[in-house]
Amino acid sequence: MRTKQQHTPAEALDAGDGQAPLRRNTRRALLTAAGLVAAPVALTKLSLAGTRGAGSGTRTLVTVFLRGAMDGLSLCAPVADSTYQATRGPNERIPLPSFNNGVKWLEPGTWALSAGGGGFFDAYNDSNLAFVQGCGVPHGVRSHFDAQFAYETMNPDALALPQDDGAVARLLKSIAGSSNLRACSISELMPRMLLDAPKGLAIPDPTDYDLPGDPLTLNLRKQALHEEYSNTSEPLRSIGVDSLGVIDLLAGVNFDSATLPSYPSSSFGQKMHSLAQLILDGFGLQAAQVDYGGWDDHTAAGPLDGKLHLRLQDLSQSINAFYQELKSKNAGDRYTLLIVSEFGRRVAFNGNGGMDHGSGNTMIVMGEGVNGNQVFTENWTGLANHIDLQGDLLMDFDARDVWAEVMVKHLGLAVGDVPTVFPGYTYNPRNVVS
Amino acid sequence: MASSKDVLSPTTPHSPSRPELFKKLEARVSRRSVLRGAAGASALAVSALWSREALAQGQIGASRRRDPVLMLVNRLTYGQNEAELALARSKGYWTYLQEALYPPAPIDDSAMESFIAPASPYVDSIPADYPPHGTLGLGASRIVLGQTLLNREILTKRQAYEKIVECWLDHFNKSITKDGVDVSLARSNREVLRPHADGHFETLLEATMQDPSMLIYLDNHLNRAPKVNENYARELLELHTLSPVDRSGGAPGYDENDVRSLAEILSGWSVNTNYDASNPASFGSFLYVSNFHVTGDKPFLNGTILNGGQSEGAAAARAMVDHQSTAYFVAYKLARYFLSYDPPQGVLDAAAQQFMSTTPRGDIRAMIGIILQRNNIIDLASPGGGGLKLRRPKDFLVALARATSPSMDPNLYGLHSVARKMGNEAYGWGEPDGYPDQEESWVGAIFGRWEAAFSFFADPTTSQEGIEGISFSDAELQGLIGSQSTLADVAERINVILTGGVMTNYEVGVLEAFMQSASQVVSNPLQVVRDGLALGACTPTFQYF
Repeated sequence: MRTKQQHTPAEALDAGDGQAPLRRNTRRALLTAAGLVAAPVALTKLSLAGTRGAGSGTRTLVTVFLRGAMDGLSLCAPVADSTYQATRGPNERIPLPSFNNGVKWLEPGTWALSAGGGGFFDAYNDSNLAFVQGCGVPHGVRSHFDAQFAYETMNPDALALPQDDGAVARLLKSIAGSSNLRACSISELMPRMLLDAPKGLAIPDPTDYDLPGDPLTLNLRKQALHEEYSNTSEPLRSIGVDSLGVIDLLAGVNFDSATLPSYPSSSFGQKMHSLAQLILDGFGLQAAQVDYGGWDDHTAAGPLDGKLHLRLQDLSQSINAFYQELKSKNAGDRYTLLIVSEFGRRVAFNGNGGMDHGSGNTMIVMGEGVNGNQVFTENWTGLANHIDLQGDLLMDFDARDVWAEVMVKHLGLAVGDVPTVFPGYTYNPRNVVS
Repeated sequence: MASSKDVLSPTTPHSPSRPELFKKLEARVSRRSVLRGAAGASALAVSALWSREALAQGQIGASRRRDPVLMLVNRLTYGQNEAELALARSKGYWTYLQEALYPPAPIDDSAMESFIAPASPYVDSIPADYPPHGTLGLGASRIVLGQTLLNREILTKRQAYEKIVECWLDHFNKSITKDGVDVSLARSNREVLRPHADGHFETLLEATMQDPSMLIYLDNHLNRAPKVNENYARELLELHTLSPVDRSGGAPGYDENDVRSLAEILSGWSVNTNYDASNPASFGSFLYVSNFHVTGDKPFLNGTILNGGQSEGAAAARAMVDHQSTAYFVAYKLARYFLSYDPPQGVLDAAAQQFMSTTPRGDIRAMIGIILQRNNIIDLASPGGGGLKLRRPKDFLVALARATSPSMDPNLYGLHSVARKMGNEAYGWGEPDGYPDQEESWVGAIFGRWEAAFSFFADPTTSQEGIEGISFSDAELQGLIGSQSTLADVAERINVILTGGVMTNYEVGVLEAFMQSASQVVSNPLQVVRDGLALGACTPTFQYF
């Protein structure tokens, strides 16, 4: 069985102590005992079985969106830079690497990886992970919500040019795919990046995706749902029909895997574990997103040992477990993973040990085929030269350069279709991936 | 009460060969539509009857879906039920709207109040009993608070008021997941939000600016000279008042300099975090600390807020509510919440004009009265009218409970847990913008509603898959369905109970066909009805209002 995630007190009350709302632990056993799992009843009108697709060669574009604006300068830091050292106090900046502080050089003398981000080091060292610094979709706004909108639609002028479907959804409309589940948000909500994706669903927990109720009537109920939804209008029609198809598809995925290092028991760690199994199954998933919220550190950030450090640790260790599992199963070329945030945070701390909203930020690109073991910048000449009038890191490396290059080289997007996915943008690959 | 045998004849389960009954579905539906005299006798035409797009494009003539009274009831309550709909029909559109917003006499809500009473030690004494914080601890109070809101929404007789409260819970969102908000939220709701929810926006805004829970949530309790914290000031402008988009078509009303100035204006607006056992009520109260205030005049919104210590906040609030962008943004939020995702500009103009016409600004009930004018409801289904709204997951659960009146246990919290599992826990949204109020965010996880529906109607005597605290005994179920002679009548009865009778003929036909098929394999006829009700809750029609 998969490792159960550690519960917060509230979750513990939800899930245990006789308080479980959906007492469903015996359902699988019942189904199996009744012989219905292995022998689905043939349906005359239609097949509800999911198309598994010819997906073994499919590459999955994985987006991890850090909502709230992660402080990139607490992850990939110019530790030796005099402006960085002068602007951030001893407890606010990442120190120079030493034998016992967990900080490691990425580019000796310039960039270093914080202790919290330490989980990224193995993939970086394998040349399968790169950092891009001073990065973002150049929207120029300091509002989380406008910036996320601009980022996820890949449209810097989102307010003037309202195109509200997601950029990754547009990618999927531009390339072929045969699976019943081409895009999956491991969440209760569809993030804008995937809004309107063909064969796209929001699935909070892929390991728990079956209908409660009497197994004797299960197929009848599924067929009734199919009738209800195949006779209504979009978007409900496709989503309803696809959701039914995915029941069988996910039932065929083996979620029991044990690898080392193990995934953190956090919600994020468990989601990355589930996602790894979806990719390993090879049914043809082309895009996935895992949102990770809570990065809006206006107070008591604690980049060295506080909440920001712990969050970075959870993030990087979860990603490392994902990296190591796929690598060990020879599936390191089945995904390209991008970790992004709507913007960075101000270089100088505010009066509360936190940072207000900034601009340029760190982006992480991971997977085989990434030109890793390097930090990409826009002609880095020191922090003093890459800071704007408000005291924010410049957003001078256009994130679209990376996204478009990944989509073209790893997902099969035709260069001619780049303007469809990125309105008003001209393809400009930077050799971040091969 | 009729026995279950009036409803269905139990038959011996046999091995499955049921889909043949579905083959007859189209013929059955076709017959039904003829019997009802609905437009389009062919199965295809019937299947197109329920189409939001078609509805919005005005392709459907006299669809019952457009019944303005039903649409009004679904906008002023957490979902119709037979009693509410009958009441509204007897009063007529205008009287129902008027009395929902301005009750002619005090409403006796004691049944709801006594139902939630077991939760009151946790809801009403926080933070007075903090630090002990009850015996359950923080996680438990989160569950109790969440379930209490659901119970209120299901049971209160002040439905319109409760809807207004939810609108502001989203607009002035505070997340219970943040330390400090968890212990201050209950008091904040009781003392700040609920007393002002249906008054004037200006008064409500000023109250929220001194709401300890809000100040903690957006870090303003730490905002102090000389290095201010911009978090609250930014969201106050962006999410609570002007917003970055002027919905009258004008230019954005503020910029980064205004954010900075407002952060200075509100520096020193803090919360008393010193617990004094001799004066426990002072713990967690608003506290202005003059030493932490940035002194000096501040440019703000094309004017200047003169140096004045704490009084600068009221002057800034006045400047914000006097701004046209705020009038339009509040009009937009109310219209989007109460009317449709894309309210017509004319509705915004009228509501914004109403906002500006009173002192204090923003008579909330008067604005809602304008937004819900009968013509606006009728126009919903016309081109540009805005269309129907998808129920959010929590509201799906609440509407289901209101329509079917299950037995509810005040000491169990299963419904809260299901809402949480569906991503829509009361007070659970982490970001300050409130739960998304848009179809496309929620529709991708439709499967969660199906799971919830089958759990909702699970038989408590035989199933381990029900929702804690929600149950229907066989007798209760029989009472709900009544005495029906055919499965077609049962299906129609389910339609009336859940939607007021506006499912498509095709959907009702699916329910009937399912029950015919299921009764061939299930020995307990009421189990078939349970599944029929759940499938009714799963219909596309039930997802929208």
